[in-house]
Amino acid sequence: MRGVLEKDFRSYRKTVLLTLALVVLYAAFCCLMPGFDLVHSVLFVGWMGAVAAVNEVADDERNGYAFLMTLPVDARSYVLAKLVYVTTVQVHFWILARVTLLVGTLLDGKKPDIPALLSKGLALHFGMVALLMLILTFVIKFGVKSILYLAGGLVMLVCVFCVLVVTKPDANWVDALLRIGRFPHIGIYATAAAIIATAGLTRLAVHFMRNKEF
Amino acid sequence: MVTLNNFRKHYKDFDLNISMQIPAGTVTGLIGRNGAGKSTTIKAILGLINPDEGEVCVFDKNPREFTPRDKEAIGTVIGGNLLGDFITAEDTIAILRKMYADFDEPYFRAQCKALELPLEKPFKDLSNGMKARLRVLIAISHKARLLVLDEPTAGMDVIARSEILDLLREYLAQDGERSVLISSHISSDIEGFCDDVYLIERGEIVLHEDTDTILGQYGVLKLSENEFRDVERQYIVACKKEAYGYACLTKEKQYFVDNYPGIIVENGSLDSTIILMLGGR
Repeated sequence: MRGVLEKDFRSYRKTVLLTLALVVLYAAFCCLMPGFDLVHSVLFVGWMGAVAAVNEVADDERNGYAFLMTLPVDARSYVLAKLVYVTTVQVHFWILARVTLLVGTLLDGKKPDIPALLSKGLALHFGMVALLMLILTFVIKFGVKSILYLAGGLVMLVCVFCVLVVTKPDANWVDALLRIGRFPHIGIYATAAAIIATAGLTRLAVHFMRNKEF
Repeated sequence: MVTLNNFRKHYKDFDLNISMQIPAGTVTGLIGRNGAGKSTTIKAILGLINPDEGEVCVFDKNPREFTPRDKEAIGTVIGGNLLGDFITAEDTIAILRKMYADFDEPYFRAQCKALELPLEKPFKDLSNGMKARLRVLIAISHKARLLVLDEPTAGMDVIARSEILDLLREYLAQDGERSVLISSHISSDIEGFCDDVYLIERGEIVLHEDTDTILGQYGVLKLSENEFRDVERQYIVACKKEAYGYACLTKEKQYFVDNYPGIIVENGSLDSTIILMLGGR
């Protein structure tokens, strides 16, 4: 597992600079725009964390897996290494999001509320770990092209939802869905759901990896 | 050390049906044309595919059930991008250090220098020859007991091929119990390096012989139509129609030298054996 992690982080180090540059540019934009909702920057940074990590999740499949699986790596240690990797990347980006939020708050001339600052958008990072494990499971089972279908499916779902929200803003179920975001302690429930999903997806990815032929 | 016992694997357009053995301390060559099943055989030995029937044993164990510790005893060269496009030889050192308990870093660094492999260049920027050298170096740098090498000299010029084979000979000389399975379509590599040879065609072994036997006892008879009619067919393995008559492969060269003094008998080589076994009837 340590060898796979070493490989992943060495590749990550070489590609993360571009992602960080985008994050810094966006953070600067957020901080300079008066009255901009800083929560958006937290969401953006969390999303960029997933973008930075997804390359390594798919890279082994692109390289053919075969050589990697002749090294001292088994299915379980491989999937666990990926889980540790995506979680670590999300921790990096969680820290980055907090720094962005803190700087933005200070530049706005407000006093930072530290507990709120630490917890804001936390579920998003757990959600990204779950999403990345979902992508890994798809890549192992269906190949790297499945990411495109998965992403396409997610984008279509979001588009359909947005169209419905715009065309039928008064429908009860749309209102109910939108109200989920304002549900008390929704962050805690979402975090718990993401952790459970991650655990399930990790087991599934190990199962697929064990039965995979290269 | 390695046994494939009636290993069968069915694909849509190809069937592999193979039995072979690699004893400890031997160098075994697997030769055949492109698409004959060499890489699939190697994947079977490495546990990268499941058999439909039959079994494969490496170190008395099914390779699909290998633990990471078991895998440390095997060095591999197979196609693909190694560890990633952006990974350098220097990165590879750090990765192998964490993967293999017996990784010999000073040896790896010394060989990188000797083979003129740049440590800081990403894998994607290396030439084909450099990539091939790096693959072999990874396989031999952790004191593996078994090397499984799929076309390790592919894409290399004759000097580089010779360097790699020398490196492998040196590696084998360090421990008499080490074994190698090497696949290639370059017969000269196999002929000068292997103790025995498997010739594979359309997923089946069509010849298994000691290299010394091929070079010492096999021969090619060059026969006119009349001579071909008259010779003893019992010792002819394969023959091919030529402009002058027939070229026939025999396993008993000396028999024809002793009993048919008028016919031309050439010494056997791996090339002539392959050409007649695969191109003849």
